[in-house]
Amino acid sequence: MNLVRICLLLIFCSCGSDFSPYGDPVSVLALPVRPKPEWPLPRWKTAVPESTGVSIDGLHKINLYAYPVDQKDSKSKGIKTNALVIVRDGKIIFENYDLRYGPDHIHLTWDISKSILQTLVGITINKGLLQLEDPGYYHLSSLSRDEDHKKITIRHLLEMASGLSAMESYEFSSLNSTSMAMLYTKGRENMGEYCSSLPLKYEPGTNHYLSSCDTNILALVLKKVYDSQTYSNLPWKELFEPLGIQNATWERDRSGTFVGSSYLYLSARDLAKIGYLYLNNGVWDSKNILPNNWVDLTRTPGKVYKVSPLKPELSTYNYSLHWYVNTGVPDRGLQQPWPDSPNDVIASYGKGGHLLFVIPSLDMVVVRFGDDQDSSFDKNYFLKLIKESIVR
Amino acid sequence: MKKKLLYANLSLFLIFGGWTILNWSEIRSFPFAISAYYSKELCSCFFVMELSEMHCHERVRRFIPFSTFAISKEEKWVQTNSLGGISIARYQSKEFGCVLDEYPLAIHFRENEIDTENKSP
Repeated sequence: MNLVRICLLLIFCSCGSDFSPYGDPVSVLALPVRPKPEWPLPRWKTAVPESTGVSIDGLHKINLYAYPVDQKDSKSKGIKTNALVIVRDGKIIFENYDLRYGPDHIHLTWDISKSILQTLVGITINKGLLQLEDPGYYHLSSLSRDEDHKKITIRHLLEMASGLSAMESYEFSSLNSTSMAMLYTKGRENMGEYCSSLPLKYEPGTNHYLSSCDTNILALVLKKVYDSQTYSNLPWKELFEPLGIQNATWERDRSGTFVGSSYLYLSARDLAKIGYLYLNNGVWDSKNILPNNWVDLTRTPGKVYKVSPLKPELSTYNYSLHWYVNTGVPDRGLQQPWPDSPNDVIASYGKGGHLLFVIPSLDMVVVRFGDDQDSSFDKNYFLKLIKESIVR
Repeated sequence: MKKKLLYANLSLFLIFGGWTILNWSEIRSFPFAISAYYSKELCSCFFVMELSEMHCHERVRRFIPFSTFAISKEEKWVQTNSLGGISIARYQSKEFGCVLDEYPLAIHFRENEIDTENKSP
């Protein structure tokens, strides 16, 4: 009898944690508590590296890797860095810029824009105007073109799992590249509309494919959620101004929708503030900018990782909600993308070698704006150098 | 032998012709993609990131070795002509940076409310 009761109890307890058909999510530890964090309002404070437990020698090695001695403008290959900022304990402990850039100089962030668009989605969810599991067509009529498109949810778009037949390529030889068409030719009038008109290649939520289209559909969804004026001011009023970011440009398509996939410009120092928001669990100066569980969701590989056909890029990307994580997905045999660094790293990166690392266990945020022409910049090695620079 | 060569050439011609017909829309847009890329990224590099014109050409031309262009620093626009495809990008404002003019080929994906400020003059 007792055994039956125990069995019933176990069945009852497991009801709330059923993630079928996805299986259990990858578990992430709670973010470390940061007592009395420093708020860089309006500007970052600086500190001597040793005072925050970082060795000068370690930073020298990081700098040497990011700025090789043979770095030249005309160099067509290898590592080229425009800006590098390292934050620890809420203070800048290291920054270096090449001759054309400085602390306040804005830089095209390319794909990192996607992660900041995710921040705007989080802000909108926090306001109760959008739900993660909402079908997109609730807000965007062009996603109601047929029953299959109607299945695409906000979560699918954030996980890059819409299933739309996009082709992400920036080569001019790729005649069928939807990213090129979206940015430069037939999609440029209204990128979100163009993208949502693409046919489905996979059932939504079953296949991961990194696509700028998914981001720009989200940007258009946000436009439909707000009125025109509120939408135009959204990044500034709800994100940049609270964080003390005074110098930002976010380009739009011809319909006035932000190009969420690609065209946000920020300084390296200000991009570090976005990272710092995530390091502080979505809280800024005692105010909840993001929903309570948003950063934990951002730190967890997407649900699509449980069902997507296995392919090498799953491990390379280890994608969550428009950010990259370093957890791996052990029960699918997917390793950490950066095995020599802490597994709690979350990252945003993209074209040109731009990157934003948030490392909660080291209490660090790192920003690099690159101008790489190839893939020789090794993120794992760079993160290893960062980890090794910590002495306490 | 001559017949075989003729058939081979004819087959190649038919394959290429078929491929061209199937991809005509993309092939036609190719020059516009190049010029739009050059205009937009040069406009943003110069007017938004405020880098020197020479450096902007270096950054953008890296991918596009051939282009003719014009830049108006007063009116803040960039025009590029590549293989007959002409594209213009205009600087809008500090907040919204640069945007390309209307796409000259068929436009299928337009919302009802196009911002008037973005319309081509």
